[in-house]
Amino acid sequence: MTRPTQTTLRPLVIVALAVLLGACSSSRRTVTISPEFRADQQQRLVKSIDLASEASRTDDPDKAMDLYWQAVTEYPQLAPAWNNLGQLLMEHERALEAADAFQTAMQLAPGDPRPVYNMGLLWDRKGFRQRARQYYLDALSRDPYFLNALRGSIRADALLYEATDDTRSQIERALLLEKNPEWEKWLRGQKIRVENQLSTIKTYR
Amino acid sequence: METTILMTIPARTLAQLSAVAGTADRANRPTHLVALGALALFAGLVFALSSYKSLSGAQSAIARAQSDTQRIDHQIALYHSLQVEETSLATYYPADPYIDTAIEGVIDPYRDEFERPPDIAPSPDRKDISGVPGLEQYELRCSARNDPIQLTSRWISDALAEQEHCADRVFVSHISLSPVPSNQFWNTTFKLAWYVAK
Repeated sequence: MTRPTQTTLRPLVIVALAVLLGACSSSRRTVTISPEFRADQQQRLVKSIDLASEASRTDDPDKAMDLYWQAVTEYPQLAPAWNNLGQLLMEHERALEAADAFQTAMQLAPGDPRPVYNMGLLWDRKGFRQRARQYYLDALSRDPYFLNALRGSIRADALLYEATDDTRSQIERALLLEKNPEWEKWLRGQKIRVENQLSTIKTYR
Repeated sequence: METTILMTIPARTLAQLSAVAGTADRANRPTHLVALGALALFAGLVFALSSYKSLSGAQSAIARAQSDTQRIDHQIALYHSLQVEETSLATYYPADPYIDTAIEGVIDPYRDEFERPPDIAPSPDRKDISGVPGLEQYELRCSARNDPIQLTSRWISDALAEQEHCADRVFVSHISLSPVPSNQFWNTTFKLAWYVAK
């Protein structure tokens, strides 16, 4: 029997090492979720939904707030409960907690413009127009045709007496969507203001 | 005034219900009986009965959840319909007879620093805005002569920042500056404007 030479062994060693490395790199630590844990989470979700549904049905704001708290404590990933809790906190002048609740809802529902818009409204009511406008713009980046955010952004520009091409584009979109005659009238007024301001800016340039 | 927007609480979905039902079913299922061949027929009957029971239970739960959803949706729609958006040009641009007084009042702490009393029009000029029949622009003409530019600039800033009547409402619609040749001072004329619903 001939002894294998270095030349014949070398490819085998390389192949073996490659297989070993491949095995190491592809081995991934897996986390198994036990059926009991999953069942527990599902039950918590259902209970949370029940609590939040009850909160949305009640006419008593304090009771509703309590129920929403219970819902988010039971299952903290329920974005609508956070959003609606934020709304109640905001009406109770608890702005800081409301902001936290909207922020959580924004993170849990990354495609939904509503909690972002609500956050904008919160800042708007506190008189922080520029910050409010940024949230309205963020809501519009989630849904460019979200009418409430369009109104909010345009209104913020009006109060700051600012006009850009974006403002004009927002007004055009809002006019396509608007059904409320009072808002439509106001938007037409803003359209004139913005166009006048933009033409003035161009003249000065 | 705009109001916050509520999000609809999701209904219990079929998947969630069946998952919960499935968990309970698995926990209660007498598997050892199934394993006994002698009782296979009995176990089959038990299984069929329990399946029928859980099916009807799930169906009624789904119906209940759907009914809940419809009721919630209806209430949300009702809530929104009650939130009639009472807004008009008068909401955003209400008449405020104290704006011109406020513009003049902001210089009270440093009125004496002006070379001569600033000239402020007795009342604002009013002009229509083309295309917006319900709105007009008020303009108050102010001028200061032979004064440091910092003083006039302070006056304009203070007027724009005045919280009670002017902030977020009054803007500069016109400004002209001309240097006084004999010194480093300026003659300044500016107009502060605001919109008012008719």
